[in-house]
Amino acid sequence: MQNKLSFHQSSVSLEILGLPDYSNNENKDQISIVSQWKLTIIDKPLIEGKIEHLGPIMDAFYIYSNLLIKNEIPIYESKLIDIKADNLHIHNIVLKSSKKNVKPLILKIGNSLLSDTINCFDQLNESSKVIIKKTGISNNTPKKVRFGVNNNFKFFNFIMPPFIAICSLVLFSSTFIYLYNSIEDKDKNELIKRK
Amino acid sequence: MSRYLYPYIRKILQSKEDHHMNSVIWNDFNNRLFELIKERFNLNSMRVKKLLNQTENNEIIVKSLLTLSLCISNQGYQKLKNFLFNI
Repeated sequence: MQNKLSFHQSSVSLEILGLPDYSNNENKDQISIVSQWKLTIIDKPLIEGKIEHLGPIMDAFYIYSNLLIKNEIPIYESKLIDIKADNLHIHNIVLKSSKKNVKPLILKIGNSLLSDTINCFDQLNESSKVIIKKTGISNNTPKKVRFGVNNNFKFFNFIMPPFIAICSLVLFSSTFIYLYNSIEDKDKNELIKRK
Repeated sequence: MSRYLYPYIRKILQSKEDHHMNSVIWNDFNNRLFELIKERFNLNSMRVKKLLNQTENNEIIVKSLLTLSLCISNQGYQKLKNFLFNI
């Protein structure tokens, strides 16, 4: 008997079918061996596939939404899925089947359905009951933040400014040692003593 | 917070997708947003002027709403932070 988990967000629902990995002492209600998934969008054809298709499709949606928000050209193309923006409000999705002689499925979705779909994927990523290779989260993290996560880089950033400041202070003050004229100083001292 | 506002955000986004749909929701949202901007922002600033310019602000408002609608998960705060870092 297969387990079934559903994630809903307004007009979109994502269904995951699979089995727990008993060899890994998992609970009965968990899914780590996904056999099938179904993405249902109201008024649109059903999208379903195997586990190897789910990761690339999730990645495509995450990358596309990032491009859209970052004001970059919102186009994502791959062997499995193409997503392009028709205009500011409508997105064109082309799903290509891995089977021969099957025409690609073309969907037009608005911003509301796009956010519903991504929210369903977020729910799947955050679910503790489904254990899959979660690639979506890593794609959400921009390069700048990835650097911030690195502790070595943080420590280097923390220690370098005071180190450079101390070095420059030492170098700057050492130049005055060479400018200091000891003979002149001796003459001055003698004049003071005579007075 | 965007999780609780998601149904409203979604409706506002949806109202802009279909031209046949009633644009009352979009107009109401736009009017309230303008009121708030006029109350709280420095109107002499060029950026605020751009935000109030109805021919230019459409894209900014839609993208801001879309960003909020994508950040309703448990990790939404981190996601929003990442989006803002990226701008």
